[in-house]
Amino acid sequence: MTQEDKEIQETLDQLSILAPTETPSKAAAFAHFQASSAIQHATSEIQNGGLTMFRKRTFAIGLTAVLFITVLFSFPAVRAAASDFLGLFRVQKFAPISISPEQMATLEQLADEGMAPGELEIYHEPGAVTPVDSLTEAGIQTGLDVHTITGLGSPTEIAIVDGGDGSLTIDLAAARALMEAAGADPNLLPGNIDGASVHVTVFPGIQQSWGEEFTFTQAPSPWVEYPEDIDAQALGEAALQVLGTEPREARRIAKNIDWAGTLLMPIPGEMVTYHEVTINGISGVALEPLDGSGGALMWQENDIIYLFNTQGATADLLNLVESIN
Amino acid sequence: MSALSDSLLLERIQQGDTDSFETLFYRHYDRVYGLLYRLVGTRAEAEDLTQEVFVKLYRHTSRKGLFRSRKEHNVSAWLYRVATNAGYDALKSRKRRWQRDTLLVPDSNGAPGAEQTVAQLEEQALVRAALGRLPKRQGQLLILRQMDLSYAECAAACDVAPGSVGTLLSRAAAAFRKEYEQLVQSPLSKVQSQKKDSGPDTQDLGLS
Repeated sequence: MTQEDKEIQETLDQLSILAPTETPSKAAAFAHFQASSAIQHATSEIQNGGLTMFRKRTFAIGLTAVLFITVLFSFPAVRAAASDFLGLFRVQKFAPISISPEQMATLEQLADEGMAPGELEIYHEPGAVTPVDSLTEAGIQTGLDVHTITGLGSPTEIAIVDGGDGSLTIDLAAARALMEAAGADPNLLPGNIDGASVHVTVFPGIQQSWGEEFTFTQAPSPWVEYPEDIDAQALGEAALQVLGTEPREARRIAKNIDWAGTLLMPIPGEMVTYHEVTINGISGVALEPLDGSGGALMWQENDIIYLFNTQGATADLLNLVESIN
Repeated sequence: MSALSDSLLLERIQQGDTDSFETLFYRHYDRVYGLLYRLVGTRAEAEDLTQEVFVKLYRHTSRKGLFRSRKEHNVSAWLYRVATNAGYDALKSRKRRWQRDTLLVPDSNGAPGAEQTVAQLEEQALVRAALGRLPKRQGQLLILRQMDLSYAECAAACDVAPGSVGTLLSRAAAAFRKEYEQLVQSPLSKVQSQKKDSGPDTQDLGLS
């Protein structure tokens, strides 16, 4: 036995003190597992033939996770008015990026495995929906200048979607491991991001519905505050590679994107198509699922993000949105 | 107990055979629990985390082809990776709790049993704290090897080449000894030793 082998063995012997002195009953553990609400929920979805729905839901979760990561990586070179020490990102423009189903599955799996670019803390979970009686009340509660789609008449439901905030403390080693596992070049991440704290604030918005067919949401652009000495272009290139863009193409795109306010939108190419549209003179993005299950328009004006969804065709949305008031 | 391979069980689960999942659960439960117990040190937390790991496995196996999408057939390697991440996340959460608390409250689950002396608990806490300070992959490698996994199994779980496991283990052992020595020499460790008669906060030691 070599000296190295001896030292390894001594360490393993020392670690043996951590071994459990008893193991729980597997039968009891499995019974507990079967009774858990998470399993009941998943089983019910699968047994009801809901595998497709289940996949869509997890896809949505994955997409949200990717979007969140993308936002965190989309640091611009804009100084925050509120602070001399922080940069501030606000969405000015959307940049759809097609992502392959294989890369989407990889990112979903990495998220499920608990891989993250650092330590994420949610201080206030966003997304809670509270109905209100009128658009006036919604405007008072959110401080927003309320718009509506007059061509659809009065909305059948009006609600406030709660905001929230959280922060990510970047762990360079973990972020690089995530990059590597996603097939991206880990060395794109600059060393000075280690330990950097990124704070994301999502503001309350207003959601209007017309039956189950149309939904119109407006909310202020989220804020992403970050240390200002971060190389936005390098992080943007890294984000593009994580989304599956070829390295040379990622570098080319990263150089040409204005990172001062561009939000990358990963779009699963095999499920959704997208194209640029003009909405009342403003550039936006139209999203159309390939299975014809609806569509959406997304645009930004004066720091407010608008999302108009339908179960029908996007062409209807473009006609209707002209009646926005 | 079924003699079917994990790959075959996965295929059956994806075809709707729920009994096959039970077989996977029984086959891998002890090792996943053992890994998590070594990391977090309390039975209740290790049991909860083990449940979470198997919930993730259940969701994965319910998605057709997901294991195949990354050419991943090795269920045990996947489980050890997910369990290690869950264990380290739990340690980080504990660190946050510890930093928030102004009074250090001993974990009742970690209270000395009849067969465990305070000195043993302190040693466990030191070893666990040193382990917690290592990069995740090094800690994972040491634990898995201590659990008698082969070099090939360790390589699969840690996603490294089998030929590099010996070198990586050697580095991990050296890093562990260094962290352990630093903790033994640290003022906090000495304070803990002085406090042992009044019940030390051994679970939190070294996680600051």
